[in-house]
Amino acid sequence: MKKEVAIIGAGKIGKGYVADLFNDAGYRIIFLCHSLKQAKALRDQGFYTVYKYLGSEKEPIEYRIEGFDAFSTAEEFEDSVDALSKVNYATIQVYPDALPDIAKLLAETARKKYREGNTETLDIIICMNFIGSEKVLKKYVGEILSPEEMEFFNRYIGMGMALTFRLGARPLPYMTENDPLCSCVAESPDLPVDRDAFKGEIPEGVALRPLSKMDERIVYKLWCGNVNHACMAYLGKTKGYTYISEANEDDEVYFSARRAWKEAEFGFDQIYTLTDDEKAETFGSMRGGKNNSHHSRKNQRQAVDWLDRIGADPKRKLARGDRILGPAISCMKHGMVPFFLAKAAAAGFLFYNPEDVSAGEIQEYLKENGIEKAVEKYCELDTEVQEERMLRDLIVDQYHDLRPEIDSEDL
Amino acid sequence: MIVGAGKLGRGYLADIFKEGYHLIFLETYEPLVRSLREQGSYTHFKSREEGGYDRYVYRDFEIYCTLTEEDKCIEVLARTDLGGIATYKDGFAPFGKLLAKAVKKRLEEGNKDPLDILILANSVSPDKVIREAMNEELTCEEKAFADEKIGLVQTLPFRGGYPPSEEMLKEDPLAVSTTDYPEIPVDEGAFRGEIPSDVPLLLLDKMTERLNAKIWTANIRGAIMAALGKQKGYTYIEEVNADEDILRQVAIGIDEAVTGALDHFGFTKEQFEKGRHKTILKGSRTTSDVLDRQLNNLKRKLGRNERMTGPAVACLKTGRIPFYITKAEALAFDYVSDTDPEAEEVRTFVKEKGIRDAVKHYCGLDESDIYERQIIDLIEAHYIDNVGRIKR
Repeated sequence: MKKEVAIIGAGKIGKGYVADLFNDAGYRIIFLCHSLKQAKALRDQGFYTVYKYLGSEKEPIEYRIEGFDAFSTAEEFEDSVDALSKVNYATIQVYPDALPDIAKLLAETARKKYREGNTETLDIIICMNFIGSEKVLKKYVGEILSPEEMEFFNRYIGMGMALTFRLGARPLPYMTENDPLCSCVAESPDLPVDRDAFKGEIPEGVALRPLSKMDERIVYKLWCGNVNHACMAYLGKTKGYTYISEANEDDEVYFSARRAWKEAEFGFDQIYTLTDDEKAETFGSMRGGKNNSHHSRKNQRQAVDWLDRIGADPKRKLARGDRILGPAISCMKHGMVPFFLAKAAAAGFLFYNPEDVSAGEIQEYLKENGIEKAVEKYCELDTEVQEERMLRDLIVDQYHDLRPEIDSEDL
Repeated sequence: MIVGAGKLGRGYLADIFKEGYHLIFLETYEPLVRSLREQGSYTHFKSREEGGYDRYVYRDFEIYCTLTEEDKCIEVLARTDLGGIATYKDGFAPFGKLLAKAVKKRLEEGNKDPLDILILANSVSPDKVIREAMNEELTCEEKAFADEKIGLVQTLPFRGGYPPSEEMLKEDPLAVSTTDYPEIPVDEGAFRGEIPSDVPLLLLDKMTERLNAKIWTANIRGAIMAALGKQKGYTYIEEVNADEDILRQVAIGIDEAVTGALDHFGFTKEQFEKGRHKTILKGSRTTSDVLDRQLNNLKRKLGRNERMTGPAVACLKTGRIPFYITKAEALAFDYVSDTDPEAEEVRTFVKEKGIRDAVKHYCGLDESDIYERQIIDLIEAHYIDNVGRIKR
């Protein structure tokens, strides 16, 4: 297998996590980013700086990654397809609304390989906190390819989910002054991947952790890992905080998030089958001890992270099946009232950042239609089902409790 | 004839009967009897819904002590045909025994007229307590007579009586102070004689269920106000009445209780509304009532079928989460009272055994029942959220 990897999406996770792991193992990196401006900047500069926080160290280490190629999928589509068709490995780390464009890239790559009779495997690792993204991608690809091409795709192109544990934070001003293309992350030692999804060999030498039952693990990671940060972000914003460190220091926020996490664990256990060992294995060294110190206050990383980033795109994060509503619905259906998950969801409906399109849309809708309708719409709750109607009411109650200054006419 | 010359005896029953009826009080507390007799009057301060008070001075009443003037009391009971009783729960059985003596006298004297007694009590089936205590003293023939002629009429006592202010007491040391609810809902089927048309009575059915529902849907108001008001550092009901946010939460909490009550007691909304406390929630009422009084005897008020736990479970069973009832109940577990030692006992229990065990113990809830477990969960969650992190 060639020691090359195409990294689709050159954002925080692409540059600061996946590229870092493959670069460490001596792989040549080809960035496929949407923007021509970004691709040119990477090409022209020829390097970018990684600022990485290790453990609980207050200051990051810094180093460069260089010797890569970069193409724009928007403006250099043919070059991107060509590059992708020649590698054995690729990773995808984009926002969900980019999936249709990515599907087009994958479909054309498969088509090119099919026409050229290129039967070398291409294994794609999807690093997205979006449950079922590989199924969504495959569905879009299937709408583009012919049946024969799709058969080729299914035979030679593997798609599997990964668990992205590394924190990609917004760089501090001094970091972007030093290098406008820099990436700022907190360390995580490896990338858990779906061992059963590979068509070829698992990339040699790269710090990947092959695991089975990835479908359940991605849910577990989101529901019982990411939920904590989401809760702290939304609740922290209601108190006027800016950074996760401030939210972390606030007892009400911190312990509400901890309680929400416990509710989420209950909700997860009612539906899925991961054993305690498999759960521990999912988080690996990120768990750090029997009390799941991944959520431990003392163990919070020192990377400066903004609540606006952690809570960004509330439409996605408040949706049914995602990190708050997914476990909350399961809790309700299995006899536990998800008090703190509902509180976090309510806080999510108070989340506002003028630069966040998704948050803006929710606030507009709320203003026009009220909180009850907003919860039904964005949390995708079916009020014909008693448990879901009760959950809607609980979120609404929590919303009013967080916002006592609303007019009584709103009731 | 009014048994009990306390706040509701003098401030509700007397008020209802003051037009066209001669008032005779029968009271256990001898010093009060003496004072009222010596003064010959007392002032009733009645707070208006829209604020301010009406005052009425009662004169020309009689008053006798049930302990030291028992014969006189029996004589009154033997000749009257209409009256009321407003005492605490522990007064019912002794009254039943006194009434038994009056029944015997009525029989002896050939008085076959009925006697109907309105019972003002925030407990269920006080009529049974009185009748059982009475019947224990009667022969079969006397019991039959009493069954036929003595009506023990349950009511919904919607008027609140509370300690008079210092100003009121300066004006009249024997003053009583109440709200101004204009009528008494009564059990129509319990009367033995003609129902008086010159007394503001609201005739209702299903009174036992209504009494339970009243505790759940009317008395809960004070409990929620006290719990939320104390959290904000208030002392008086008046302060809570000026707090829009608390009134909002109280209104929703009452609605949760009504939801539970309708389903649990089997009322339609129309049936229930007929006997419901009709009050304007927003607080313009002037009152010196203190929050502590609303949650006095805290252990009883946390009980399984009492004003918070009862409606909370019933509400949840209808598919509605009793968010504000359980919030108030959680705060009640951290209630600091100047007057009730039970509040300190409850707080100590929570400190030693944790909130969850405290809820199970005082609210009588069982984790093996899914609804009761969810109520425990809700109260515990509210406690953690509002009172702080407590180790289990």
